[in-house]
Amino acid sequence: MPPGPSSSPVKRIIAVVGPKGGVGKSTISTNLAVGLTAMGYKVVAVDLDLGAANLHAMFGLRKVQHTLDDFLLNKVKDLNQLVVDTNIGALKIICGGDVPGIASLPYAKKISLIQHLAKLEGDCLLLDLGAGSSFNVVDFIIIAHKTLMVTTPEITSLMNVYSFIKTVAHRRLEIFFRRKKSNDLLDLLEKARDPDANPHLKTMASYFNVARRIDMDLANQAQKILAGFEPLIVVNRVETAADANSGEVIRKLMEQYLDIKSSVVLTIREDKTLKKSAAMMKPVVLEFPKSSFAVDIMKIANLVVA
Amino acid sequence: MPPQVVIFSPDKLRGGITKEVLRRAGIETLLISKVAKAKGALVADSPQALVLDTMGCLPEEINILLEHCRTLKQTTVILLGRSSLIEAIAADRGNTIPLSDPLDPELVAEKVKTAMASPPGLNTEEPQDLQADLIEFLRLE
Repeated sequence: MPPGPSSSPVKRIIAVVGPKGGVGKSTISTNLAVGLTAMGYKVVAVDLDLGAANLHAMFGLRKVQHTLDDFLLNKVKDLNQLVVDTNIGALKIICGGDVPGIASLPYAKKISLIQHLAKLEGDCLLLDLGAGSSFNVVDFIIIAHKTLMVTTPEITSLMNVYSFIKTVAHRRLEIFFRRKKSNDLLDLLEKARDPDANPHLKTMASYFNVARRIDMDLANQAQKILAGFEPLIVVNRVETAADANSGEVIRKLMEQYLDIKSSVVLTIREDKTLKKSAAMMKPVVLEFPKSSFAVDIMKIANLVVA
Repeated sequence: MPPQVVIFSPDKLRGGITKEVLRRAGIETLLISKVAKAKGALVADSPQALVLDTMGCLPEEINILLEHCRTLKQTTVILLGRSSLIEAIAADRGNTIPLSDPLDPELVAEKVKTAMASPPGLNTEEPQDLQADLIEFLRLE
């Protein structure tokens, strides 16, 4: 089973997830890493978009000797051998690779990677995860102290965020019940995955109501675990008040149907400077520190380390 | 045909630059620096966009123009000025785009073009109920 957040040299692990591709997740990861570095933190950013790495391009790093592929293909045993200087203060990155099929990680390899990530040294470890809701994305969130869910105001992106968080919630419960060897609650969770056949399990609250009748103690423990999941919703490319409000709408639905009560909604305004800095292959926070994007990123940086 | 875009700016330089950049982008505008005239233009012309430069504006002037725009649902308001002020205003209204300083006239032109590309009257409808749509598409009920 994937380990939970545990004592490790890395003080804060921040996962940046964008279930729908193209929402600006890597741009946000890059600039957030730079912002945290500017605040004085020792940051290691890891490109976990397996098979489709691009973080190194965001930093303009053209010649990278070793990537995460080397670890996953057993060419190197220690992740520290893959850490690369970005020449931006103390910020370092581990570049992702692009070996076809590498995203379908075997379970044991994934666990090994997660364990090694948690041992990296630094103040902040920033995980730039791939798109989608596969367990090879979801399971990396389990070690994160803070999870940023990046969306845009479009309804399809919001739907992906909701579905992703639902997957994370189910996965956390599954892992917990497997650890506790509670087959009854696992069976109930399986039934909850088919709300058409089991409408009485449609919401997470109704699931726990039934679960408590089976095993009150375990159900309460599981509910507490879920209560500890506090994703920060980040709505990117905001242009109007309605755009900004879309994050609040999805937050309410998560509270109502998934019992996820404590998510914070942040917004990042649409900003023309992104195109300019992308062309320069330099982070916006460095090149245009007074731009609205940079200002919004720094607000997020302050929040994730608070 | 009356201009489809009104620029209100008490600052001659900012207003002039914005008007010129919009002109080069093929957009004819009416530049006004007095509130009473701006009100008159909004009533007479029902423009598709109002570029409201808050720099140098008195708070009452901003309020008067925004109040007027409430009755013109098809008018997109593009606010220019200090981020702390215009963000607060935009948060309270729909169909408003805040573009914080430093002034970027090309970005203003881009936003005006977008506003003009929307068919007139489209914005008069109430915004789609996002929550209801999400509930339906996610099959939550």
